[in-house]
Amino acid sequence: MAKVTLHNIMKVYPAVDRGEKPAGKKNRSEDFVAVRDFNLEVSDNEFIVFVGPSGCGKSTTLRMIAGLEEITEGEFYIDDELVNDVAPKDRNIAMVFQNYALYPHMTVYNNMAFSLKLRKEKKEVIDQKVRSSAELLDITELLHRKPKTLSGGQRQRVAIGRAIVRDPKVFLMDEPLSNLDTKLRNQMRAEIIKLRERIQTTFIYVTHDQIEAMTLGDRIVVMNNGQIQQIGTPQEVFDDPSNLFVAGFIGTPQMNFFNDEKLLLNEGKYYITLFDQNIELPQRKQEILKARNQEETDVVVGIRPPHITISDNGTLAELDIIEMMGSELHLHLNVDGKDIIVVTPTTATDLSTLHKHQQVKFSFHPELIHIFDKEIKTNLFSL
Amino acid sequence: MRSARMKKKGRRRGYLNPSFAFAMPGTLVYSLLLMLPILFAFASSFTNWNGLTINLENLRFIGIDNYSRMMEDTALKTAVGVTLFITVVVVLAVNILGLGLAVILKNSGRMTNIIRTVFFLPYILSSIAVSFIWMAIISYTGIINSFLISIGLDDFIINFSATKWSSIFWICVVEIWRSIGFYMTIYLAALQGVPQELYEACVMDGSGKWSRFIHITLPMIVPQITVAFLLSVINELRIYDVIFVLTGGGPGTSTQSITYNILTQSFVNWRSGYASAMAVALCVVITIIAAVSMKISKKLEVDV
Amino acid sequence: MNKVKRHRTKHNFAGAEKNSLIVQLLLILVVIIVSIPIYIVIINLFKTTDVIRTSPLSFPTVFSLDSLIYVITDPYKNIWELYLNSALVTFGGTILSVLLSSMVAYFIARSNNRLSNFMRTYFMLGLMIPYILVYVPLALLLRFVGLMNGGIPVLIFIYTSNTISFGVFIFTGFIRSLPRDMEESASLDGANIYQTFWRIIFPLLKPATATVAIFVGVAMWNDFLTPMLLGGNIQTITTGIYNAIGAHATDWARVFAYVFMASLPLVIAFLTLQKQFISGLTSGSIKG
Repeated sequence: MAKVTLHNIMKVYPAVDRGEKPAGKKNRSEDFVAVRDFNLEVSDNEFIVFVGPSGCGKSTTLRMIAGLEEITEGEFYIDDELVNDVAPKDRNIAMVFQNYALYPHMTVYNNMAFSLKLRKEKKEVIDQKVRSSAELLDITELLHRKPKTLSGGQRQRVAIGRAIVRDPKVFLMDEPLSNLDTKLRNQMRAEIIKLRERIQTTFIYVTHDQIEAMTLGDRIVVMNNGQIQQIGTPQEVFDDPSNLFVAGFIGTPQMNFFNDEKLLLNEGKYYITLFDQNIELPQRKQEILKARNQEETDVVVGIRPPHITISDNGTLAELDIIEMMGSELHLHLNVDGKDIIVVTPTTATDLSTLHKHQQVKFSFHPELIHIFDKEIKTNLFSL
Repeated sequence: MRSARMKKKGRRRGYLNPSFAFAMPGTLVYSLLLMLPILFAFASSFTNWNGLTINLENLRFIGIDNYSRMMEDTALKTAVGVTLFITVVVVLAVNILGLGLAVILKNSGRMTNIIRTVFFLPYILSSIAVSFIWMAIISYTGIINSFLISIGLDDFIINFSATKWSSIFWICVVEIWRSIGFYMTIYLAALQGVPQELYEACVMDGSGKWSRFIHITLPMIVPQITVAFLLSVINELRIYDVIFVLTGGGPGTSTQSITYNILTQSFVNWRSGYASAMAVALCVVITIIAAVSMKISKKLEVDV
Repeated sequence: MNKVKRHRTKHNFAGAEKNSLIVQLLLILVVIIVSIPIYIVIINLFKTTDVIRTSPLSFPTVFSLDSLIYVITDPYKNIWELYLNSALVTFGGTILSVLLSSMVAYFIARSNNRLSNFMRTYFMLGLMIPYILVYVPLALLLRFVGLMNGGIPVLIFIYTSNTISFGVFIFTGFIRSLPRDMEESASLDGANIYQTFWRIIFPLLKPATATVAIFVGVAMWNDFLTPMLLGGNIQTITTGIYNAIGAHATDWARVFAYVFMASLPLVIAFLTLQKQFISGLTSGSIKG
């Protein structure tokens, strides 16, 4: 367990890249900045998730923390000790790789014991640690097998086991579930939550899957284009996305965006234009905007699909598509050629009353809308 | 300044990369025992060096004299003729017969692997052992003649070493016997690598056996044909062991190969500078052949 | 019945075709012709030269082990010593070549800098140059440093120098195909670069090691020119039987016995590890 501090971390791949290219990056004729201005403090025992689309720099950041990638600029501390130039083997960090990276020529037991053997631990100590970790992960009966003979889920457990035998200060996971099928992924996700309660370590977890991020993380770091977009608890990131990117990235189905709207100021009150109406913003939001002396401006308005309801009065729309998802319904509405998605619980709706191409009315609560500056894309309600 | 620093730092961490210490022992052995002598040989090909000692009083730099002398060297001319003849015959035989056998063998069901092993066996024997086996078979007092005599066909007994051409014929036979299994195996692997769907598609198009071979099989195995062709050419251009045992270059010097000639010049006549020049020339020829056939093969190759 | 059979072949797909009976018989005939020399060696091994003269192609009626016993007990040419020399040279050379070339390859494959790129080209040179160029200057070099009679160690190092390019080539290709995350994982597990190589990488090279070892091992065991020109007073199995047979050039029973004994170890190895030998020798030379 340890505190991890990243201060102004930056990663640049040089222009002349004769060697291997980092995965997924094309050969570039100019310096490529993979990560910039990365500031983060991870406290003891915290579970941090880096999430973002592929190529956003999340894996690069993780690899810099592991020491597999050199930090171009900035400082990286573990427990207040500057470790920029400490070799990975001396950082006491464990990592679960996306493809597990199990040593194919060693048994599960030896895979798990390898790091302890390198540290010249006593045989009995090694044995005891390996066995207790194996028990924790329920892989005791696999100890004598080779990785080749294991299923994906079992390999995943072994990879985790190999990492936890060492009591690492920091536990890194690089998209550990992305090679599993959906069912197994959900199961392993639950196991990681349980595991996390049993071992006291700082976790840093990289994923592109926002559900993993929301369910696992104490805090989420949303990244895009090498930069942090927002750091916050799952709730904060969902409720108060700091900009358009986060708003669009977190939450499925995606937030509905209305691009060509305006924020108006009339007699000290703020309004937004939406569906040819001027909607007055609720009191709390008025205050935030007032405090900042917000001027009239072009905005993007966002409403999450579950925050829209089909109702007897409200804006008129045509029902385009009805998607039955089981416990909820996804309705695609068409308002003046603009597609709006509404999510409503199946139990609250009588399916027989809904038909394609039918006219419906919908409404939303002004309290639940988001407004983003069209120019700089930030959330106008963020403090 | 900043970009200079980045250039240095953008790489992977140094301690994940092996240092030159890993390459050190291998480089040392390789440089001392192979590259150094080669350099020396190359340098000596421009001198009148005798190969025995380095005596600076007699050692002279003679420019390209060694190279121009090759043009008038009748023994070398003979050797080049012999080598080229053997090369053409053996290369054609092992490649055409090897490919033909592979095509048949591919469809032999369970027998395929056993037959492949039988054909391959001669290839792992040393060329010295192979040469002695054949010497016992074709010598004047050898197996064939003994057999002919034992069934009363005394008139047909052979004397393989009596003439240049019968010697060369048997040298070719031995070379083909020794290496055909190897080339057949290369072709067999190539044929087995051609995707089955291609043949199936071709059958649906109503093609015959022969047209499938011409339009599917051959274009698909161009890379392996190139490799097998190249390997056989290079090996035959360097032929030595079999000739050394079977004919000793005779009758006279009529079946000396290029390599035979080079070794005679260096270890019998002690004209090492000249021998090195010949070896350098051989090396150049082989490199040119390799480069040209690679080029041709690139053009013929099918992108899958 | 004939009709049914025809019908079936017609509908078989081209690649899965079976040979017709005539083609199959032809193939068997070729197999027999190709095996005749081997057959001759085996049957005549158990005859005396006189018997060979009179009935060269028939099965032996009286099994005579004279020639084999002679070869095994020949006081002038101790075949066991030849075996030992060849074995030492072959195993020593193969092991050294595999070790050194895999280490060089690790450097070339995993260090992307100017030096490693240069080394790649430098070792490729050795694949293209005919070895015949080397004998004379190397002989001089050995005489110069007083190692012309350096014996087995010298031969081992010569063989290593001359096969290392091949090993480097095969191993470099193989290491480049290995995912890098196992090395990264090892380094997080606390391994330094040497531990990473010997405990993670080297064991993973097994398939490439088999190819390299078989390819260079067979070449070393069968090589004739190097021990003859540079071996000094060391004789290997090839130069040994060459000298031994030279003395009995027409005593075919003994020739067969020598050839048989010289080839036996490699043939046994080949027959027990057929797949590895065939794939090692063919893929080795295709890549080399």
